[in-house]
Amino acid sequence: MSLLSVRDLHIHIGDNHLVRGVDLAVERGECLALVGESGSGKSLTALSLMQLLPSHARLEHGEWLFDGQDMRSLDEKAWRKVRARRIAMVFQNPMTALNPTMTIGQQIAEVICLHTSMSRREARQRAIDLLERLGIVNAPRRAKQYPFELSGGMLQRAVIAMAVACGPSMLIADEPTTALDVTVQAEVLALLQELCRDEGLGLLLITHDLGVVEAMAKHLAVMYAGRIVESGECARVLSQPAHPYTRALQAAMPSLGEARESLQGIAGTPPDLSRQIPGCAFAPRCPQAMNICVRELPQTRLIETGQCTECWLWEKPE
Amino acid sequence: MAYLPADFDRLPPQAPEAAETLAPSPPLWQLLLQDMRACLAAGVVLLVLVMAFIGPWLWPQDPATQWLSQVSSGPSAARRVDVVSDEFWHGPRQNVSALTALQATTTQVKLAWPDRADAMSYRVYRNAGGVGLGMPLIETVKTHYADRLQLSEQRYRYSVVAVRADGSTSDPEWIEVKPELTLGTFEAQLLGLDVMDGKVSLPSHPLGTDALGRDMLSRILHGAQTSMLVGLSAPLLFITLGAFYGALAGLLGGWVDNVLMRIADFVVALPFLLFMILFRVALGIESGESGLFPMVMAMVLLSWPSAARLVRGQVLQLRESAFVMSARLAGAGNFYLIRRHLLPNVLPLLLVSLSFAIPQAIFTEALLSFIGMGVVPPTPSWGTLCNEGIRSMLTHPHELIIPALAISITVLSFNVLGDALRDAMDVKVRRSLR
Amino acid sequence: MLRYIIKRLAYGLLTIWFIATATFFAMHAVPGDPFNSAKAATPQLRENLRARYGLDKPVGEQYLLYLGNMLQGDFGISFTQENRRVNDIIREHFPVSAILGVVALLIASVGGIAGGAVAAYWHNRLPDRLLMMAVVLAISIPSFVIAALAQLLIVQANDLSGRSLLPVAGWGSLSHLWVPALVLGLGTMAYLARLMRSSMLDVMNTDYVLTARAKGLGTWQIFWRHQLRNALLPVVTELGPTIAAITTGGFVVELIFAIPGLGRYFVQAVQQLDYTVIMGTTVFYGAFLVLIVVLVDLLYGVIDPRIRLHGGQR
Repeated sequence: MSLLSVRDLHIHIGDNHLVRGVDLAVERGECLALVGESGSGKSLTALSLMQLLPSHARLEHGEWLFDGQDMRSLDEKAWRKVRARRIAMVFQNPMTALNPTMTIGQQIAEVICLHTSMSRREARQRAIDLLERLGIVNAPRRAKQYPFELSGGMLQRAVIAMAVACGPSMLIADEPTTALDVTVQAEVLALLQELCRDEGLGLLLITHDLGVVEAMAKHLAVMYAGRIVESGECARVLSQPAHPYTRALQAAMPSLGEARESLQGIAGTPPDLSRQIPGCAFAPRCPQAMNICVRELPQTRLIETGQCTECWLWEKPE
Repeated sequence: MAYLPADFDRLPPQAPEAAETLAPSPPLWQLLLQDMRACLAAGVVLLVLVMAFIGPWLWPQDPATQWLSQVSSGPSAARRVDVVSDEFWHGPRQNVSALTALQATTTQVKLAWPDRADAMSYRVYRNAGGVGLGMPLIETVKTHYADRLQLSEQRYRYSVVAVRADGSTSDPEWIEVKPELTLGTFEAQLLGLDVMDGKVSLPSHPLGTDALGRDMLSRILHGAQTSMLVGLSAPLLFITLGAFYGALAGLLGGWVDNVLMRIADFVVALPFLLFMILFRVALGIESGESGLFPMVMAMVLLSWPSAARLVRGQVLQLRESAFVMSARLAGAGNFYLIRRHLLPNVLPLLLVSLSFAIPQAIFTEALLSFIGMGVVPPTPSWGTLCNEGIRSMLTHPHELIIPALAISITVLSFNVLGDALRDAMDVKVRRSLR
Repeated sequence: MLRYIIKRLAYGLLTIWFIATATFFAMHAVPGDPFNSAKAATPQLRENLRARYGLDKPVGEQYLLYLGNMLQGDFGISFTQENRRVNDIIREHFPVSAILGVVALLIASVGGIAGGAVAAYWHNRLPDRLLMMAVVLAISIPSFVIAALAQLLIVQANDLSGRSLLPVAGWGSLSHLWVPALVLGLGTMAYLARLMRSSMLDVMNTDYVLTARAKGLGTWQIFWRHQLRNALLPVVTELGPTIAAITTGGFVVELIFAIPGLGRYFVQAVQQLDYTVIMGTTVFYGAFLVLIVVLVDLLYGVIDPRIRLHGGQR
């Protein structure tokens, strides 16, 4: 059984139907990457998995199981015991994700104190141990420093330390490297991978960088306009993309080692999600769009190469 | 479900959508028009301004005329009243059988009562409103008395008590009287009113009169003139002055900027109200002046730095900004830059500070006039009106409440307008950033 | 940090000197002679008085003398009450103003901060709208009107109940203190509530508050540990002007409620043109406010580690 499985997730904010039926499954000890351009609803999906959406957002689920437990029935009080203890989150920008008026150590110790019976002093010590384990040199000194005194990479390590402090079984990382220098990115990713492997953590990695996905993830889900358009094993999806959007995304990515004539952007703009979209949301931008595409939503289909996709091209009678 | 082969025909190639263009953000005034409270506030502000400048002409009563017969009276309509003699009264022609009021007018109330054999003297009391004896008026040996003490159109209860030789007093005999509004001949003459058939026409006082019998409406309108004059001219002056000062500092830069802004810092450190008073005293006023000019001057001297800082900040920011750099590279001159880039960025900001400076100035004027350090008494201002009103607050609250309402509504409107203006600007900024 | 403190103090002293100088020359620009014929009947008497107050000396010498005395903390002798030193007047009346001001400041900050936080939490809902309406009203009614209306209210309440619930004016007991302090603090409270609301709204939308939620903290824990302190930073910067507003606002409240504070004394001195008292009080208040601004700056450093560790570069 999967660690986390979500079926038919919908998120509305105001008139906008931003996530329109997403299915996800995260396995223990494995990394699932959720890829898409900005505005595709991937961050909202991530926040919804920890019940952290703003109060005016409306949520609907077909199914929501975590570790065998039905999460739909939890109230806010029960959720507080889930957050950080069972599911933890790493945010995009470590410079803003940490409270500027508290030291790093205090912020890590806070979460430990909250979820365990440790004293403040023990928690402080545990925070320092964690920082050390996550590769921060001179951890006792760093723990006494404020966020503005540390570099981005170090801060992201601190944020990760905070996330894993209470031994969660799942980690959600929302673009954990976007705000960091390129040289630091690799280190942070390696750290996440190591945690995933050593602790058997399920990792949901949200990113728009296919390079990161390739290096990290076992499975991949590509999201467009609030729906998963293609998902499957990372290697297969990337080597033989089945959906035109995945292909377009790949074509828009610069990659090392492969000299390309030019990068191709995707023409057009994402659709307006305050309106009903009867067909495939990508159709207006799709180079292979057909009449049916704008009229009706294709079914999700498992194709020969082993991935799932929803695209009329695969339904086309030969 | 069966699909037709035609369903799988390629869509005709679509014209690539133009990158989404945002509609240019509407001008500020259009954003303001969409805002209900802004429209309402602007309406009130406009009304106050119009009333301040044409009001005294529409309501031509002199704010200094004292209607002594109508002191602290409530609202009244125009009417014709009798003019009665205010000569000294020598008593009734014939004796009365009980306590009677032979004449009950606001000029005098003539009381007469029968003589009592055992009485050495009589004490006359007047009570306005209550049932007790009230205020003692006189102790007299005569059997008549004319009350001329600040009478108004209200019910009075007069009581007469006889005092015996041994000092003991009789039970009071009383009468209730409601004097009719009249003018004494002397007052009619003083006010220069035409007496026809023994009557004169009195103008209406829609808001009543103050403690000195002056028409409240006229005083409010003239006061509005003073308050608005200070409230508008001082902010306009100090914001203009500050803007030039700040622009100069920002454009010159370097040590000049440093020195100029240090001076501004010093001026900011002066405690505002104290120095308003100090400068107001230092600038002095000659007799016959209203004291407006020193107050405006003092305000300008103390308030310019905020606008200077604002403009300097904008200038510095613009000097560093990419679009000014590129304009410079394209060979744009200083004047062009100021006109094309600086002014459009700075003017809305100045407008917002102006809309907050105006209510502040109105407040300051009122406050200074209230403590007697503002305009000099014969000139009415809302502050002086409040000051006068506060003295008779307990008996005639309207004299305080009317000018207080005038200040509050005006300041409220300016504040709301300023808020709306700032919000509209925020919307503009947000739109242009998107 | 030490260098920063020294820099701020030196700058504060320079400002005080500027205030003293501005006061001196403003008072010397006053047209006419302080000793008019009413106070000094004969020219001889007038000369004596001028000599006694050092007015016969050239302006430059007077200025130096004035600065010298001020450095020793001596503000001279009152013009109208010749046996009273200005220092004694300040010493006697300032504590009254200070008590009133401190209580007003406490009421204003607690009320303003709580009100702002409540409004932010219920953003755009009924409590927010009601509070913001009250705020706009409170800053649109002049303090002297509020003071007078409060008095009127006390009188009515006393009349209705038939006994003296609260004194209408005066000084001396705790019951004399509350109403004037509330009236004095009201405008500031409204201002602070507004400030706190917008800074609280900013803080509520930050990533670190989301982080705090993701840690599993409850609403109150997030408020106390993460939001309050950060939301207070902009409020603390405004504390200097706030204290200045309460100090000068005290004049009117003291005047209306007949409280024997320094503010009321100052207004009386101005009305009687008591030069030394005006000068002394102005410089005293000026210095006091400069000191407050410096203190607030240092306090800001205590709350905000970025200032504390980087020495004043905001």
